[in-house]
Amino acid sequence: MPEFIGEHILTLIIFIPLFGALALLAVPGERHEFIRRASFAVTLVPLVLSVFIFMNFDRGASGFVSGEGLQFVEKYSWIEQFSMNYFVGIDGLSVSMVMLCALICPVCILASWNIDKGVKGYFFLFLLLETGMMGVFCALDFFLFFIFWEVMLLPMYFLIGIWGGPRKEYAAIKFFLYTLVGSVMMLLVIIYFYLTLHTFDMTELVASGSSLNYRMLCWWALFIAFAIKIPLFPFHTWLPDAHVEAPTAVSVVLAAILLKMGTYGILRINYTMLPDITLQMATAMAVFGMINIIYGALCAMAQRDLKKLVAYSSISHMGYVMLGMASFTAEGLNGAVFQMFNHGIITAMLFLIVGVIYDRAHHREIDSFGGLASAMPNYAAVTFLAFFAALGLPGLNSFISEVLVLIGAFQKYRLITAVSATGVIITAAYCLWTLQRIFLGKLDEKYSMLSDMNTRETLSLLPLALLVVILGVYPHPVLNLMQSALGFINGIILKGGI
Amino acid sequence: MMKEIIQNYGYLIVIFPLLGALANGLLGRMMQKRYGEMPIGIIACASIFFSFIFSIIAFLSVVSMQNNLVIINNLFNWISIGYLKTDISFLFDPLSVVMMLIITGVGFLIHLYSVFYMKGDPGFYRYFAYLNLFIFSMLVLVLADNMLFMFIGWEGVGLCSYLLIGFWYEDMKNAVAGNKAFIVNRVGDLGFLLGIFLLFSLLAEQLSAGGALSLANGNSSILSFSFLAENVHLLGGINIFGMSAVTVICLCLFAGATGKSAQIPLYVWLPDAMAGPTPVSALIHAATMVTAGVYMIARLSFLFSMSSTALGVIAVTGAATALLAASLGCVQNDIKKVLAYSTISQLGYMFLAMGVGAYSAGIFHLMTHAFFKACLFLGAGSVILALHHEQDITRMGGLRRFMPMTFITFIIAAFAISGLPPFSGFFSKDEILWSAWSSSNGHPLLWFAGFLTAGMTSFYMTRLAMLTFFGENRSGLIIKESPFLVTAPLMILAFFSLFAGFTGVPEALGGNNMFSHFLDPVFGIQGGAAHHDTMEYVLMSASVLIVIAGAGLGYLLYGHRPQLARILPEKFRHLHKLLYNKYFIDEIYDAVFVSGTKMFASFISAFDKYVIDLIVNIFGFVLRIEAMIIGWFDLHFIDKAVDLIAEFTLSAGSGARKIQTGRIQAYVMLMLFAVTLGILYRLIF
Repeated sequence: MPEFIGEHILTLIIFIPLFGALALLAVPGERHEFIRRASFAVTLVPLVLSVFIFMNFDRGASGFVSGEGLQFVEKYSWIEQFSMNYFVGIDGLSVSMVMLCALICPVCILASWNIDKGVKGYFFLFLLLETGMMGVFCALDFFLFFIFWEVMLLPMYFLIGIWGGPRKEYAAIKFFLYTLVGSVMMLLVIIYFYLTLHTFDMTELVASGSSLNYRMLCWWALFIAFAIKIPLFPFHTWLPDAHVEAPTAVSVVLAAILLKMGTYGILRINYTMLPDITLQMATAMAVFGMINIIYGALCAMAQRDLKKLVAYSSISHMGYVMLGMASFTAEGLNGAVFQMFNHGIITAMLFLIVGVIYDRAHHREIDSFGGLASAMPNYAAVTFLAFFAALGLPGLNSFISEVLVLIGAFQKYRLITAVSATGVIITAAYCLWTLQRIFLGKLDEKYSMLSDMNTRETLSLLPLALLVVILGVYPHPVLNLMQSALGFINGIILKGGI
Repeated sequence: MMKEIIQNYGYLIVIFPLLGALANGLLGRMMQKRYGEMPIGIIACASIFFSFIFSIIAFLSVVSMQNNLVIINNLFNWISIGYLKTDISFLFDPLSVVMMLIITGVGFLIHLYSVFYMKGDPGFYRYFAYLNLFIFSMLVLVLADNMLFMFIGWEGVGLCSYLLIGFWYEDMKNAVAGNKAFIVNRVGDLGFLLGIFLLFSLLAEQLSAGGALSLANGNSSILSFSFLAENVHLLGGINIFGMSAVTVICLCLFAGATGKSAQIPLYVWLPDAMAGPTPVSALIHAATMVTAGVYMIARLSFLFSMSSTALGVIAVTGAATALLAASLGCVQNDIKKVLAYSTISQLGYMFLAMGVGAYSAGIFHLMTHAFFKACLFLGAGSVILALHHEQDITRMGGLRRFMPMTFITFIIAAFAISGLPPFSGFFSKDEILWSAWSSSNGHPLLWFAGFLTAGMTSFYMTRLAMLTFFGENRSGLIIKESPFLVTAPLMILAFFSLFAGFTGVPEALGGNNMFSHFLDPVFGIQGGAAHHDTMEYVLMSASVLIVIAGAGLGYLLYGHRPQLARILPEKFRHLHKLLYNKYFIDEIYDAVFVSGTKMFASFISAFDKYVIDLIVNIFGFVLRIEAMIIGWFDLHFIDKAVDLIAEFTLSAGSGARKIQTGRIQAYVMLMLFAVTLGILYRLIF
């Protein structure tokens, strides 16, 4: 049994949520509590398995070959005529994302406890979503990658479109069309790659990518496909709408994991398959990063809706990832991927926090709150921690990733980085201003009856809060995972090939 | 033996306050509810006390060392990526042990005092958790052996000041003051970060190019102070942005220092920081926070010494700040505001010292200032408590009769800050003034600014003392002396305000300048030969004279002929208004930076909503129109065609149906007709 688990661990991680989802269909729809608990239990399995991966992951291995850099590999022939394989495996780049995903999903189930409309459908779709997300991070066959990419899209559309807020249809369609445009561009490139190289196998594509034509076109098609997901300015406007309408847990998944797929895709596909173009486009990527940082922060500052503010802050923080990626230094790249992980945790906290207050006050207007620290001290403490993490307070996790990004990028782009660094002031300003307007000042009479966080809410926020602090003081557990893989990717870029 | 203790357990100095903060922060609410304030106060004070004991051990072990005078306590590796290797490790050398003693010593007294001051506050536990965290952050700042670890403390004190200034957050004014402190500090921190980045990237370039780097103790952690001290000389010839790289780095770092240490142009947060509880002000102004910038420059003196341009900027900024703040202190009516401006002004002295390369004089003044400023603030707190939170000095008066202990200690500290011999401030200030005149980076104008400031300082301190402690009791309250828990710290601080100066009596006055010699190894030994100069005596007498003159003027206006003090502001109405409103700097900053940023943010957000999103929506709209056209085409052409075919089939069918008559004869006829046709066909073709 343990051997079976050890050999098929990624398959288990990917498909156990799917089996859980299918099993849920057999449960009578009105047994809400059972469905919630069962879904929670199902999402715990990948979490436990990811701990196993964490313990057994070989941190020193690098390269993009099964058994070296790629670990826990499984490869079976799928559709032989088109040489499509079921090929999964993880390296230092994806392992942290798999772990993040495994951690965030149970938290989201906890945050979905008060969904009472179409409970069965909701949790079914949610588990399906987890399968899609895990699959994207584990797939090493380009076609399989695409399948999972689409699998993830569909539940997301329905989750926003059915369980969302007042403008849910608009938001869901917008999200769907945006992402679909990206998907189509990606699909065209996948097909072109296949027609030229006759393979979907990523390891082979990386090895023989240099013989492709139309490189610039392919690079941009892929880049835009992924940029929509990150989202980079000017492809970002689906994000605020989707977040505002989506239920809390869906926002959490969206910000914590789906956005990471954009940068993950660029690192996994653009960087390794078209390294020469990537190097040529480095400055453009850095500028994109800079714009995201500043633009997102300024937009966040002007928001009145708390959720929209958090959504724009995500855009700003993803800019750091882009900037770090564009630096091609060890500091910058590691900082970028670490920032992906940290942002996943922090933004998850922030959206959960928004959910807590929305459940109580039934609105999110920042200006109409005030003095909540008196009524909800524990909630205030967690929120302060999350916002200070978001503004990069030293001693908390995002400080390390942001400093790594900036210090890495500064070696290549002095001016761009210096401008980006002014983001730390704007970020501090909007974070503190938000905290002030919500928590400080005199407590409004109508909010004096608000109850502090309950056990379920505390349980969903506490693990994330602990990680924020622990990784800020001792980041090695996560940084160790990625270092050699990113060194390898950086090597590909700088040498212009494998 | 002692050295081994520090080498292995030095981190405990930092850990104790952290544990105190955690205990009170996490369990404090429960403890306060169940057991009252007692255990919280004990935990908080004990943690600082233990830290103080360890600081003494660290001090003694550094003193007892023969050479090198550096102990490093390395805990664990924090970040190690690429060239960026940073350890959590603590550096004990003469500079850091002096700072540590001040922080834990004065900090401990402020903790004791706070136990009484904060009695009965519902946020008692929160207060002490923040206070311990403050001491923790400051200790990290001074003990860190590399710049990135130092930055934890650097931002940590910013965080704690934010939390403590806004401690009574139910009043929005306090919360806003806290925000202002943090954000203004962040502006400085950006400079500090950019300085670090520049330093790092330039040295990393050297490292990757295989430059001739010497690795002290095999330590290749670029941002550690030992590495920097050995290698910054390599940056000597490098230029960036058309300036020498070292100058740019120093100016960036100095920008950070102006934030933390409240210098022009970032001093604006400090007067507002008075919103916090008074012992917090004492802590911010004396033991922690504002000294951070001075300390950082002293710590990096080897770097700053390389750029005389940067030093010049620092000296001029310091002198200008000293003058500006002193001028503002002369007209304020809030007892804490006067003290706040005096702090800014005294910090100006310290930067003046740094700028003329008199690092040890600056640190000496930092120490004496810690004693007398803590004493003044705690004394002010004692007064404020006795007057039921009245802070306006025009409504005080005559307190010396009711509060003798507070009065005596306050006066001693006031003499000390004014620089009257033999109080401690005299020695430290005089050393700075003499350096401003005589050092190679000095200038008579710098000296003159400091000299004028000295006169103004003694003037406003006399004014403060006169209005508070002399004359009639204008408060209309019955006033009692504060209890022992309050006066005991005052007495201890007054004692040091009086005698701390004797640790640094200059050679000119027959002393041996022990303090500065202790720090010599840190700053590289400075030549003391210039010290027997007749000019030194002349300048010393001049500054004593102007101090007496300032005090005399203060006495004349506010003690002897109070009516004059009322007439003068009337006469110089515009000047008074300008000073009283702090040159309207706050308003200007508000209008330009705060409103400017907010407006820009609104603009960008509107752009996002009405331009970018509009494009997206137009795109969607166009698609929809296209879809409608296609739909119409589909309905009217494609569908029509299908319909036509269907219709044709139908009508053909209904036409053909008519043949289906059911009569045999007709069928036979039809058959014959068809057969005939077939035969004809065969025949013809």
